[in-house]
Amino acid sequence: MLSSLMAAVGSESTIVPDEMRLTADGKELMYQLLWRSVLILVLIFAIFPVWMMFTTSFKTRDEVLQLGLDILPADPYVQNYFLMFQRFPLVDYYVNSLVISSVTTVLSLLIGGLAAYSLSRYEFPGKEKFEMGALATQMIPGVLILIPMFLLFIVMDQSANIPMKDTYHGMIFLYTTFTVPFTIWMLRGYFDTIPTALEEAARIDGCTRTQALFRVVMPLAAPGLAATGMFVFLLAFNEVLFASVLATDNVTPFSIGIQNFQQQDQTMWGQMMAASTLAAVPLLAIFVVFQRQIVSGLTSGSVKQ
Amino acid sequence: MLLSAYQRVKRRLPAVHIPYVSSLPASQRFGLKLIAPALAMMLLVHGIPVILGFVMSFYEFPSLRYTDWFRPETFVGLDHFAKVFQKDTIYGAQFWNSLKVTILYTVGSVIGTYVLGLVTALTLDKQFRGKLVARTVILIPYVTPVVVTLLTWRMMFRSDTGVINALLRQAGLIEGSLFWLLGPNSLYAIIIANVWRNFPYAAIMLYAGLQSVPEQLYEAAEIDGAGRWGKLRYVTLPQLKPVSAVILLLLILWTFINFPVPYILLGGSPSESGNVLMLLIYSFGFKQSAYGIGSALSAMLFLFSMTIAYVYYKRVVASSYDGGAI
Repeated sequence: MLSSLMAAVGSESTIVPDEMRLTADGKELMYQLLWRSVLILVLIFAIFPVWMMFTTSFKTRDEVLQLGLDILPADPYVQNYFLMFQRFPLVDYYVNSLVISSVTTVLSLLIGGLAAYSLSRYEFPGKEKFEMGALATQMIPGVLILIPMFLLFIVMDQSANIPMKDTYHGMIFLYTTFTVPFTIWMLRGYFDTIPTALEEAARIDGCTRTQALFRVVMPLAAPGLAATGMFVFLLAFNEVLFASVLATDNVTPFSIGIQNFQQQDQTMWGQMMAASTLAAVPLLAIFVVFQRQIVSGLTSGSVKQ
Repeated sequence: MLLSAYQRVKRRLPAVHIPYVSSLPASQRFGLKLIAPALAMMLLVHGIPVILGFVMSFYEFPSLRYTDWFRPETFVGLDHFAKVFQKDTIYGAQFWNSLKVTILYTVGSVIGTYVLGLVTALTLDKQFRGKLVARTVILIPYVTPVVVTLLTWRMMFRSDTGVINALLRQAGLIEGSLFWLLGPNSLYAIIIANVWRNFPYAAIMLYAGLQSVPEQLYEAAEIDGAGRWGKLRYVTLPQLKPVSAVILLLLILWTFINFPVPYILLGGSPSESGNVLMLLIYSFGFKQSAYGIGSALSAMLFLFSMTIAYVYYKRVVASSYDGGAI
């Protein structure tokens, strides 16, 4: 097959005159140009919406409604960053999201971390079933458990007198459970990379299993915990389905509250994008700092090196 | 400090004996103890509601008072399922349309995400300066809060003053304005936003997969006379098969039961062409108070995604791990 291919290429070279044929160097140059421009296009595609968010946050209402593609706003309109706080209790939205997402992150890392460590190191009856179960939770459509959860929350409130709907602890409890399977999945890969010899040494020196876990393994897993923690935080921060039904009134998180900028008759895009930028910047900063851990944490789960 | 407090409390408590568990060796008991909190929470938040969800799909809910629910006279059996499958009922017509839209949305998103991810991974695999910067930029869509970026996409997709229409007009591809979030184009809008959101994940996973391809394979292919295309076709792609299988499975599941993208871009009551199943169920449950129908639909969606995952896992993931070189 290869020889017929060579023949085809050979016959073509007789048709094209010598001067017009690319030299090997020329071909290499074309190839370099091709993949470099592809890469640049992909980079533009990746950053474009985030850039639009950033620039729009410095535009006045009129500028937002104008056509055109300003790369930079000619005259930055900083007012958006002050006006946005006047219309809605935006500070409350930020605080609610921060409280719910941070506590969720800590609890999820603790509970998921223990389970991940157990899966990575110990054998016990039902281990495979537990793993499959954790994986299966990822296939449950949120709407399937949303309606029963709504019902359970009402029942707990009315029969047991424990308020769950519209409370911090209710949302934290839900989000912690939603993120635990993900935490297990990511941290398990990370724990697998930590040699067991260290714990064994600690055990010989008289540590209990619990001490070996908290004093030796957890500190070593800190980078993995940081990377996983960022994704758990993002998952909790981004949740809209359960929040839209179960977290209203005083605990409205940012993900629901920000949609208030969009109203029947008009949308305050400038202010909305200012609020968005303020939410995105800290998370992007954390990502840039921890990106090595985040990338290795993401890939360790399913690529066996 | 926490640890010693825990141990002090533990010493005061009486020893608990669970019949079967107590007979296990200490290491196994410790392993079980560590998964206990996670297991308990998952049973409470995933287990019970899923069972309740299935039970609810057999009942009719006459009112919002929960004491009126689950009474024998409200039991309707498989009625909800039958209604959904009949094309001539109001529910059935919506269901079949949504099923079609959801499948198109999933297929379009997964193909787009995978192809773009693969192209990105292949270019990232080359040698060039500023590689770390490029990798960081590519991951930005994946680590920016999705609510925020979806609202930005919503802004860019506006028909009158949106930047996407402006770009298309500049390029001479369209005249006037396209409606992206209303009418037949809403399907494309959610696909584009979803591809943008997920392609960094595919790219970074495939990039990691590329790093683990043994160099000898390329050398061998070169000796056999393979060019760039030949190396890609006969070495790279087959070597990426195991990791691709995992990525595709995750992408299918993520898209199939994805809620934020359609909800934030199109809102609670989208046009027919963007009415994916998740939005339809949401509107049945929380707008039209048809909890029973909503539960029946979501139970079906769950069984469907479990089946896809199971079949796919058995057929593709398991076999490619056996046969692959990784």
